[in-house]
Amino acid sequence: MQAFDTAQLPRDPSSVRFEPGPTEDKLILSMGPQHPSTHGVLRILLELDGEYIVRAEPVLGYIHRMHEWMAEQKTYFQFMPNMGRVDYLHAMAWNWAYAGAVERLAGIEVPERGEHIRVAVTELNRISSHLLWWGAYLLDLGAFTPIMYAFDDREILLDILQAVTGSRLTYSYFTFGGVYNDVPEDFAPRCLAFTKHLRSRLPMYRDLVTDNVILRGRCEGIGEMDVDLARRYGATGPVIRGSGAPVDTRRAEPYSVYGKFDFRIPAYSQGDAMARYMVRMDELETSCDIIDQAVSNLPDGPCSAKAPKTLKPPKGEACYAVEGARGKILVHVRSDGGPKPYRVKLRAPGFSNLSVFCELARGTLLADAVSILGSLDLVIPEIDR
Amino acid sequence: MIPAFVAKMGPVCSAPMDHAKTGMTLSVTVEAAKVVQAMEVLDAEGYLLEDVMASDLQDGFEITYHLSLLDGANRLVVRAMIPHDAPSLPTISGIYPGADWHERECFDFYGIRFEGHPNLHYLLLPEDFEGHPLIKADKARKSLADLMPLGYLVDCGLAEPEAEKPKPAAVKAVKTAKTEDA
Repeated sequence: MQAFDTAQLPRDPSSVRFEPGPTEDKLILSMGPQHPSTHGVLRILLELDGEYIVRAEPVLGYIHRMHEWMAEQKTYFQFMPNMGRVDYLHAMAWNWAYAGAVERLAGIEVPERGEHIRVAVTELNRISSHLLWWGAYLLDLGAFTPIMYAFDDREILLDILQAVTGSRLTYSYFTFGGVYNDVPEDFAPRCLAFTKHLRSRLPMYRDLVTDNVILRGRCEGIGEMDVDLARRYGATGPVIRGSGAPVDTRRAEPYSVYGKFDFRIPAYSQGDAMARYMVRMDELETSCDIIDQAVSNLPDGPCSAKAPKTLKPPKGEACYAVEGARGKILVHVRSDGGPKPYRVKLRAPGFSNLSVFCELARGTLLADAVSILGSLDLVIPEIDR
Repeated sequence: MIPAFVAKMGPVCSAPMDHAKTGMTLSVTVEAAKVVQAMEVLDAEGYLLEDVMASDLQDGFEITYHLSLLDGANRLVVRAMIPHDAPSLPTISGIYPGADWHERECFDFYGIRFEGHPNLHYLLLPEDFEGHPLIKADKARKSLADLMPLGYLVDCGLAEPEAEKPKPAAVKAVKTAKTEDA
C-alpha cells in the first residue's frame, strides 16, 4: 500500500509548528474556528493520542479588531461605543472600566445616584451573561432544555435594560461622570420583581440541572486547577474563585459604592469545572442581593456630573479595575494632555483564563476538553479585542 | 510606604502612587536586564500577574507589568525602558507562564523581542502580517516628561520639584472638570 504523503497537503502557516511527532498514531486536530463549543471564532490545535490530548494550543485573532489602535485615533468620548463591543455579554463592565479610568485621570466625581444606577445595570448585565453562559455550557454538554429556560429569564432582563439604555446587547450607557439618561420611573420595581422571579427559579435550576448525575459526571474532577496555577497564569473571576480563593475586585478594591453593600463572595475549593459552575450559579444570587440593595434606596439627584464637552485630562495615567462576569477587567489610560488618549491598554480576563487551557487540557479526553473550555466562560471578541 | 522586598528587585527608582487617583499604589522602575529578578521577588511575595503593557515613547518602548496581590487594593507596576533600535528584554514566562501570551501581544503591536520566549510569533495578528501597528511616528511620540505627572518625575529623578510648570491648557481642563462637577 502506498504511504500517504503529508507533504502534499496545503501548508497552513499556523499549523507548521504543530508537526506530528515521530509516532504515527498521533493525530493533529484543528478544533474550530467554526466549532460550536468554542462559542465564536476560536481555533484550537490539538495533538491527540487516540482520544487523549497530548498538547493543545489555542490560535487567536480571528476576530481581532485592534481596539487599542482605535483608542489612539479617537477622542475620549468617541472611543466609548467600542467598549460595548469588546465583551458583548458584559458590556456594562467594560463601559465602567474605561469610564472609570478616564474619570480618575480627569478628576471627575460621579454623583451618588449615578453610582447606584451603574451598580444596578452592571449586576443585571452580569446575570444576563451568567444565564447565557449557563444555557450555552449545558448545550455543549448535550442538554438542550436549559438554554430555553435561561433565555426565558434573560428576556425579562434585556427588556429592563432596553428601557434604560435603548439597546439590548452592546450597551454604551456610561458616560464620563455618570450614565447617559436617568432610569425610567418603573426601573426599581421592575428590578425587584425580576430578582424575586429569578430567586424562585433557582431551586428549579438546581433540581433540573445542577443535581443531575450526568452533569456531575461531565464536570466533577475535570480540569482541576489550584490557586497557585491560577495566580501564575493571571486567571481571575469565577475561575480563581472555583479554586478556593475568594478573590473579587468588588471586595478587594471596592470601586464606586460597592463598599456600602453587603454581599457574599462565593468560592469553592475543588478547582474543577463543577466548582466553576457552582461559583457562577451562586453569583446569580449575589447579584440579586446587590441589585436589591442598589435600587431599593436609589438616591435622588442628578444621574451624571457635567463633564466638559471636549475632555482633555491632564497628563498622567490611571488604571481602573472592575469585576466583570469573566474576571478582572483592567483599563490603563495614559494622557499627554491632549483630546485623544496617548495609549489605552485593555486587560481582558478571558485572555488570561484561556491561556490556562493548554495546561488543563493536557492528558484529558477530547470530550472533557469541551467541558473545560465551557467552564472557562470564553467570549472570543474580548480575548481577541 | 515602600515595602522592604522592593530593594531586592534591584530598582532604578520607585515611586509611591495614589490608588484613589491612579489605581496603582507603587511603581518600580528596573533595568530591562533585571525584570526576571524583579518577577522572582514578586512571585515569592504572592503577586498575580495581571497584564503586560507596552507604550511607545520618545525615550524608547516602556514595558509596564501590572501585578497585584490576591486581596486588597495593592496594584504594583514594574516598568522597564528599552531603546527603539534594540527592542529586546528577557522573557518572564519562565516565572509567570501567563506572561507568554501578553508578551506575544507586545511583540504583535510593537515588535518587542522577548529573549528566551518559547513561542514568539504573531498571536492576534495574522501570521503573514507585516509590521507592528502600534508603533508611533517619530513626530507623534511623547517623552516620559510629557506623559507623567510631576510627582512621579521627581520621585524618579527626572525632574526638579519646581523645574516644570503645568501647561495652561492642562490646568484649564482640570478646572472645568472640577467646577462643573459641583
